[in-house]
Parts: sequence; structure tokens; C-alpha cells
Amino acid sequence: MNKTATWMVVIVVVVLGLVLLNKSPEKETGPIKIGFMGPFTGDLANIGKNAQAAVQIAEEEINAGGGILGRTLEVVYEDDQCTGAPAANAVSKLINTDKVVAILGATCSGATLAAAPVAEAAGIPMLSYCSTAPAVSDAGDYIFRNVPSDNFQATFGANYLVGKGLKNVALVYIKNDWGLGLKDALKSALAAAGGTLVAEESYDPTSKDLRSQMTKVRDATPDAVYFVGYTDGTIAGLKQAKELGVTAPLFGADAWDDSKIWSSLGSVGEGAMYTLVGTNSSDEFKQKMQAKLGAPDLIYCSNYAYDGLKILAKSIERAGATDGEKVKDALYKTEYAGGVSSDEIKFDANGDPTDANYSIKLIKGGVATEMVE
Amino acid sequence: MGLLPQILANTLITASLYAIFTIGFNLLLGAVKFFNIAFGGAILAGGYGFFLLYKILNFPLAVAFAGGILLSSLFCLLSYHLIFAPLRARKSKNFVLLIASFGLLIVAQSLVAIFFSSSFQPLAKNLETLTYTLGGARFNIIQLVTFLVALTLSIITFATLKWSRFGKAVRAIKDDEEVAELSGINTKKIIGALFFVSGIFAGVGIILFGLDTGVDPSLGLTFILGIVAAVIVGGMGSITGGILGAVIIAFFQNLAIWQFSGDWRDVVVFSILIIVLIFRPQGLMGERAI
Repeated sequence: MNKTATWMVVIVVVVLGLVLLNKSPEKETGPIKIGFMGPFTGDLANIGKNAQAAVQIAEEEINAGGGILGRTLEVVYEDDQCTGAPAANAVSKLINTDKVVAILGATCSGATLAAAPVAEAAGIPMLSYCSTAPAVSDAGDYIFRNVPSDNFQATFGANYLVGKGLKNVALVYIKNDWGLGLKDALKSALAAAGGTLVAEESYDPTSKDLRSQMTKVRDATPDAVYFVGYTDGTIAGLKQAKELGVTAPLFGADAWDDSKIWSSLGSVGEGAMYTLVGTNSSDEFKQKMQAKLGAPDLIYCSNYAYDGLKILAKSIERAGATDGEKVKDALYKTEYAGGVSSDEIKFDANGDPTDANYSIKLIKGGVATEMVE
Repeated sequence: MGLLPQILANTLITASLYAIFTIGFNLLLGAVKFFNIAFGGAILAGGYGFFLLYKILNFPLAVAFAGGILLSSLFCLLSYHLIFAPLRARKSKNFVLLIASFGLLIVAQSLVAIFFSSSFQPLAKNLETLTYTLGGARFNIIQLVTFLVALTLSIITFATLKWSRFGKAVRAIKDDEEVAELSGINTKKIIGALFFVSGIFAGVGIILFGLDTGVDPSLGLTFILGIVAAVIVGGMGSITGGILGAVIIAFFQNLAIWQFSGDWRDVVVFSILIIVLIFRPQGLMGERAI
């Protein structure tokens, strides 16, 4: 036997040993860890922190009720900055270092789409509580969400506008996964509803100067402006639109459900409207959030994040194990009712909710209020 | 209503802001001959100093304005005494100074994000501002003030460089620092003063911008990219060149959005930068112009 062969044997033995050591039986007594991903810094930090508070409430309630499979639940929180690369890092850290058994996240579609392949490859179920881009439907077998796809939102929005006689619509959208997804969905929904797109303007997620875009929108004299934006761009863009003399009604999507936008804009935001997926906020839940945050602030994603953690916990309970594949199979059989998000949550074959209902919010006196028809 | 008047107004608004920044940047560049990327840090110091004084501590506007500008100037002055002066005394290469200044910008950006969070903050207390219409173009009062400030500062800087003793000393250093020192000019003192003055421009620019739009920690780097492009196009170290560069960059930014779409803005701007570097590396005005 020559030297090379001897070394080969040694290497094989060492590698096998390492692999086997790693496979040493999982501790069945420690806490069960679930990872949470959301933006704690950047554009949507307000939404991420709000959702974190809701998840903390759900975590405390689950543990007060005896935990999962007789073990305590521990949620590990990671900042994904609402961006692809940090999200991919966050999900790797959660899976490889923290050894989470499931992931609740992310907020932003871009972050979810970047993290999904990592979770899918590792066989760790992932449930997004806020990512609405249509592309999330096809992100993988282990990828779920309890918020409905933007295809529903775009159809609802387009039908509402055309139904009000606002047929000529100008579209302004943010250039990221969410904005591009909603743009495509809105274009086809608007055409189906019988409306016309009179302008289509995009802006970079980091840009706060939308003056030239808004100038073009003004020049197209639309009946309404559909503005797909995140918090920062929306604050700057709405102000600039008003100053440039855009008088058409301004209409947005669910990301406008951030109290920071309307408190910053004050009277400038008056009269703006946006579509929002329905929630089932009980007074009890609102009070719990207020107690947690010290101020009354509840963003819709937080309702879905709260229910999301409960859905994951129940699925692990029903699976009877923390094994990723079993939890995934249990998730597909979810029938969750009585939560604070929607009446009942079931998943289709894509891991999307089977049902969606929307409402329209109107900005009045610096706060978003449910519009009564 | 045609689009052209508004596009020209938008150009003028962007150009005014960049003109303020490039004057500050070029004053220093002419004398020290390295790209002080930490100018972006001074922008952040001014913007967030103002934010702290005006929106958190509720000082009057004028006090906060002065405080913000003082902070960005002190940032520049301290960076000179603690970092750049020792490196220059050691005859470090300009490349080393550039890297050090880049490091300083990243430190400033991260510190701002730690203390103020990285989310966007409008500096104005009320976003509803007075707007005017002139020849089909609409602009608000802060944009008008920015234009007037840019115009005033350009004239003052030009006159100071051209006719004052201080200006002559600065131009002598720009031509040749060693010769200037041999002829009795206290070059260290003058360069220290230039750092301080360049901070004033950073502070004025960002506060006006923040009152119109808002600030976030990534702005330091964003503005530096635009400033460097304008400075290279116009002529490195030339005050008038920088202003011309600012106008050109602003015009093509707005033209790109108007004719194509928002995505094309940086493609067009940085293509111009490359074209100028190839065909007129000294910049449109040349490096020797004031």
C-alpha cells in the first residue's frame, strides 16, 4: 500500500468522523428555535420593528401556553435590511449557526426572494408575513406566505380606479422586486379592467429626487396616479408631486401602510389612498401592541407576523417533530382560524393563501382611516 | 404646458446644490491634490447636526443652521489635524490619503447610522412649503433659496480667490505648495483654513437639501459620486470648472430621466465622465482655471 492510499484512508476516516459527530442526536430538551427576518434598519425599519413586537407577543403567548412539543420556543431575530445580500447572509446565519427549525420572514419581497433558495436548499420551511410580489409563489416548495400575492391587490386596485371613472392611470414604481412585480400585475389588471396606462415612470430605490418623473406624470394629465413606493421614496415623491402641481388623486399599495409616511408628510399627504389587505385586529391585540411599543402603532404586516409564528408553532406541534420536511408537510395542511390577520388561512400548492380581501384606506388629518363607501 | 421649462428648473435646482458642494470640494482639491472623500462625512455631520439641533432639541432654525455648519466645518478641520496633516507630513502618497479619506467617510456613515438609525429623515418640520410658478416651471421656496445661495457663494468665492491676500496664497499653493512655502506663505495654516471652509459648503448644501427633501446616512456616498463626476468633468481644483460640471451633470441627469427613464440617469452621467476623461482629461475648464 503506497503513501497516497494511506493518506486517502486517513482523510476518509476523518471526514466520516466529522460528519458522524455532527449528526450526533439532536438535543430534545433545549428550546426550539425559529428565525425571524425583517428590516430593523433602512427604509422599512419602522415596519420591521413593528412586526418584531408582534412576534415577541406571539412568542410569549406560545411559551406561556407550554411552548412547542413540551419545549420552549426561542425566536432569533435577524436584520435583513430589506435587501438581497444581507437577507441571504441572515438566512445562512439562522440556519447554520442558530440551527433554527423554521423561518418567519421576510418583510420585503426582495429579501424573501434572496433568502428563499438558501432555505429551500437546506430544507427549512420559511413563511413570509409581508412579501407580496407574485414571484414569491414560485420561490420553492418550502417557501410559504400568509399574505396574498400582489396579483390580487393589483386587480382590486385597478377595478376600484376604473369603477370610479379614473380610467387614465399614470404609474410610478420603485425599481425592486416588489415594485417590478406589482407594476406587471397592475398593467395587466388595468388592461383587463378597461383602463389605460398614460405614463410609466420608475425610480431607483435609493433616489429621493422624483421631480423629473413627477413632471412627466403631470404632463400626461392622468385621472389618477398609482404610486408603488416604499417609505422614503414615497415621502419625497408625494411632496414633490404636490409641489409640481400633480392634482390627480394619488393611489398607493400596501407598503404605504407605514404611519411614518403620513406623520412626516402632514397636510401634504391629505387625500392619498391605498389598498390594504384585510386584517382582523381585535382590540385586545391592538392593546397588546400598544403596551409593547409604548404608542398606538399597528402596521398590517405585524398582524400577519403574529399569526405566522402561531401557524409555524402549530405546524411543528402537528408534525410532532422539528424535521424540516415533516414541518413543511404539516404547513400545507394548515387550517388556521380566529387569528388577527385574515378569517381563515389555508395554503395552496404554491404555499400561498387561498383567500384574499382588501380594503381602501384614506389619509385624513395625517392618519390612515378605513374608507367607508 | 410643455415639459421643457420644468426640466430646466429641475436642472437648475440640482445644479445649484451640486455647485455649492463642488466649490467646497474643489477649494480643497486644488490645494491638497487628493480627492477628499471624507467630504461626504462632513455632509453627514452637517445634516445630522442640524437634525439633532432642529428636530430633536428644538432649537430655532437659525441656531440649528449655524450649529450644523459649524459641525461639518469642525469635522473637516479635525480630520485634517488628526489624519491628513500627519499623513502629509510623512509625505504619504495621494493614493494613501484617498484611501484614508474613504475610510473616514465609512466610519462617519456607520456612526450616523448607529446613533440616528439609517432611516430617512426629512429635516423640515412642515413639509408643506410655499411654491411659485414661473414660465410654466414650479419650484418651492427652499429650492429658490438654494439657487440664490449657490449664486452668492460662487461670486464670493471667485472674488476672494481672485483679489484677496488669502485667495492669492491659496492659488500659490495650488500652483506649487513647496514654492509657496519658500516664499513665506504659511501653507499649513492656509490648508487648515481650507479644510474648515470646505466644511462650511458641505454643511450649507446638505441642510438646504435636507429641508427640501431629507437626509439618510447613505447620502454622503451618493453625493460624493456626483461631486467627483462634476469635478472631473469641469476641471479638478477649478472652482468655475466645478460649477460648470455641476450644471452639465444636473442637466444630463434630468435629460436622461426625461428622454429615457430613471434607470438611465447614472448610465448617462458616468458615460459623460468617461468620455471627458478620454478626450479632455484636464476637464472642460482645465485644472489651472480659478
